[in-house]
Amino acid sequence: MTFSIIARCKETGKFGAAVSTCFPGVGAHSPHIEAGTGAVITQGWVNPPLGQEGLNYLKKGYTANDTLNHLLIHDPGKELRQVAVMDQFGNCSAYTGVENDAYKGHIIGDQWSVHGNLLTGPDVLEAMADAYQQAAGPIEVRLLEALKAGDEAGGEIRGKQSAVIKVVDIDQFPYVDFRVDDHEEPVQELRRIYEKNKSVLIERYYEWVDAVKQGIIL
Amino acid sequence: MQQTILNTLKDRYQQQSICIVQNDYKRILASDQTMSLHALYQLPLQASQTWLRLSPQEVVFPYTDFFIWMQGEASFDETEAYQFFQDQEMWINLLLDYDHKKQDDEFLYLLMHTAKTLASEMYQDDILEVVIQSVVEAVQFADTGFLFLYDSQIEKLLVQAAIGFREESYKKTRLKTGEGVSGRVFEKGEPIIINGKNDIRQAMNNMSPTNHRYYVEAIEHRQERYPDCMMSVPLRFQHETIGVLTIDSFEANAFFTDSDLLLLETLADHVAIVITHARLYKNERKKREAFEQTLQALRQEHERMQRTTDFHHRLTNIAARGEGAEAIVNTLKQTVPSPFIIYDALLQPYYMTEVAETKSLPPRFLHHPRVQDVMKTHKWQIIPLQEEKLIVLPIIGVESIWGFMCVWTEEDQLAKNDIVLFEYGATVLSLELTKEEAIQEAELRAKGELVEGILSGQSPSMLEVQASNLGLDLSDYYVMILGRLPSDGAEGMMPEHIKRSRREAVQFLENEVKKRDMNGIISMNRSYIFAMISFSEQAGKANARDQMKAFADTLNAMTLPIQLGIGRVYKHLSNVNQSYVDAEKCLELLGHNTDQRVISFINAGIYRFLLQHSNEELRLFIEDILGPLLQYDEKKNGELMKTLAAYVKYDKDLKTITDALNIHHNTLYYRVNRIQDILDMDVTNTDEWFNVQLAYHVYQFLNNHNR
Repeated sequence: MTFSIIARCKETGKFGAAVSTCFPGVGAHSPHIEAGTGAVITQGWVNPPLGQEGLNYLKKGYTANDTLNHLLIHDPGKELRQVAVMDQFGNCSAYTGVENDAYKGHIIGDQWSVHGNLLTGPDVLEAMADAYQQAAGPIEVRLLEALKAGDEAGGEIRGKQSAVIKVVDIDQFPYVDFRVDDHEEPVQELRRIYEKNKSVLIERYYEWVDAVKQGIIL
Repeated sequence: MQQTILNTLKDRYQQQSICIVQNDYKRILASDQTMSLHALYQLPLQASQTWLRLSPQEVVFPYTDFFIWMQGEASFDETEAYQFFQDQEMWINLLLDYDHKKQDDEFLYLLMHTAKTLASEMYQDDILEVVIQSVVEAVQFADTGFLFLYDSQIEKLLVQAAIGFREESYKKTRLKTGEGVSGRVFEKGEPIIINGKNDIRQAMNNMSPTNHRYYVEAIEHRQERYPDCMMSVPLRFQHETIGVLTIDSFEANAFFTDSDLLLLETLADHVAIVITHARLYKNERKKREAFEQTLQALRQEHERMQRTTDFHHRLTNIAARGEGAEAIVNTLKQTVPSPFIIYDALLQPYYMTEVAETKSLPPRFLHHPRVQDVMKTHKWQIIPLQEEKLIVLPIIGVESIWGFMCVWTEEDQLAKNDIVLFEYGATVLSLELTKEEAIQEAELRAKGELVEGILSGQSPSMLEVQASNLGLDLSDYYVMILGRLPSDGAEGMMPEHIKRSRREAVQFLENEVKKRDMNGIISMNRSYIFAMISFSEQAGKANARDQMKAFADTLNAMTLPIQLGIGRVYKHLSNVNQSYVDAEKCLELLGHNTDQRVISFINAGIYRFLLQHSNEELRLFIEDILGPLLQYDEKKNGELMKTLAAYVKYDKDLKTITDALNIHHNTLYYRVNRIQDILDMDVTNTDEWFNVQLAYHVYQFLNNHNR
């Protein structure tokens, strides 16, 4: 019931993820992402604890493959879900359970992966993958481009309702973190929120982090 | 020595202090360090003058290369003094040269000493503190200092280390490019030297109020708000300015000279290298740690991948060589340490590792929700047991699940590592078992087709070819044995179970025939499992009969999983269909008789004769003899037929009959009398009694048959 992407920027090492679905408030469930650790996405019949458990496991230095195996072994509902993991090295690993509704699948690339179920067709994932690889600019823009491409390629069969984008940089200091909980065009709305607010939240991010850490004001 | 000369000179004119200054201000020799030397820079000197009195206490004597400045209350003859100093000009130049040399030596020493300190502490975490400390120590008059580094992410200069300032305040300083003295030095990339509080205060004017406040707070503990002198130099490495080194002196009347600045600049070059190197080293260390972690993770992955790949190769080779399912499970056993058992769909173990012998499936295994999931999704699941976990992997057959691979494991890690191997093993096994099943089916079908061919009267020439292919001689003696699952056992069985039981029956017959070294084809068709046995023509028919009789006796004595009907021995393959009909009749006789499993046509007794007659004829015979009794029972809902059955079965034995029917012997007498009356016969009359006995057997036969 969702299409999503996780990626690691090869230049900056930042992790990011973006998700859109026909269900309210997707950002509350996914993605789970942490600076210097990696990212976990669960969708389909979402099992939210898998996200944190995945991050905890990644933190111990395990690879994406290891972590995915670990999660699947402990999840009796694994066939109902899609789980994608990215480790600190940028390796991706994904599983699409057989009980997800068609079209379902995932594509794993070089430090990125796209996943979806209940899609209008395989084009959605291919469009997302192409868009991410061809887009220029910071990782958040490339993620938004991928989400847009997925949306325009047909997205989800049932429609659309919510979207989320998260990019992490310095641990505990949210970097790009925007959500649309309920909207007719959640992907477009997400982009609008990003464009409107990036000058405040993103462009002065390091100054803000420095100021907070030193107990000074900007 | 220098001090002695200066003292001698000032004492000659009873002055308080004397100062010899080289015209370019590079050398300054002072008898008293407290002299307000920076005032010298403002002296209005002209080369033509012989001497100049600045105040009643101060007089200056200018010469070609230097000037002499004296302070004191006592008056003296300035002209004489001017002349005297001129006479000593050569010596004074020598003294200045000497000082120059001495300062050079000191310079070199400070440089070397500082360089050595920095080099030896380069990899310390507090290298920046060491830097500022060493620099302040090296420069004369310096007592405080800041080390700024540029943070490219926030585009500001940050104080990374300082001497003589309060840390909690200076740490908050964020200088923009061009802000304050240090900001300006960073912007221009040029060093600045400022002597005098006022000039310093003025130079700091453009600082933001916040940064100025942090500066003021940082020197709260001092009486002075501004230092007396300061120097600031850029830290440059490879044409890039990475920061600024700023040092001050709060010492009254202190001032920095060009030589001090030169020393600071030289030190700054070294500091820039040290800081860059330390940064690189830190990055390198971080990278190395990351690489080590990556390496470790890769090693683990590689190890697993290697096992998986190796397992894959071995299984692929096994499959390519057609070594079969057993070789597959043996390979799996060698690769993974966990105990496992492979069960078929009916949970009969197909293969089990030695260590798994003590293991058993949880009760109601097939109803367990996780197992139901396995059957639904055809994907593995884990069942948590008390002390371990049970991984259940499906083995997929052609139409449904063939069985399960069940793995017991205590450790999660193990399960995680090996799950792929088990999954792959189960997949390859699925393919292999499906293949084996298909081959068996094909073999059985081929044999079945031959027998069907014979029975349906296929052309003799074709039969001959097929028979000789299967090692049969047409003119031998042949017997057909037909088998089927007992009707009481097959009820409520799942299709897989029936299929397996039929296979087991075929296997059973094959084994029995093989044991006796008999020649035969065992197979099955839709209705029956059959064995067509042949005996050599040379040994004769009697031999064939004897062997078959012995075989039938053995089978009779066994507890069989099937019902068997054995036909008579016939000569020539083309006549085996007659034996088939015999065997079929025997199976009919077995009917619902659950006690008996085997009937041979030759041992079928009177039933053989009954089988020769039509049902209609037999029914008429029953009607003639037992008709009135049957009608009586039906009308009265009586039990006389039952009584008669027992009377026949137990051959008139009073006690056995009353026991079997659980009645009093008087009741039996009464009932037998009623039977005699109704049938109008006498049980003591041999002929009449035989008729009744025969009619009863026919009645039984027909009833079984019709059922």
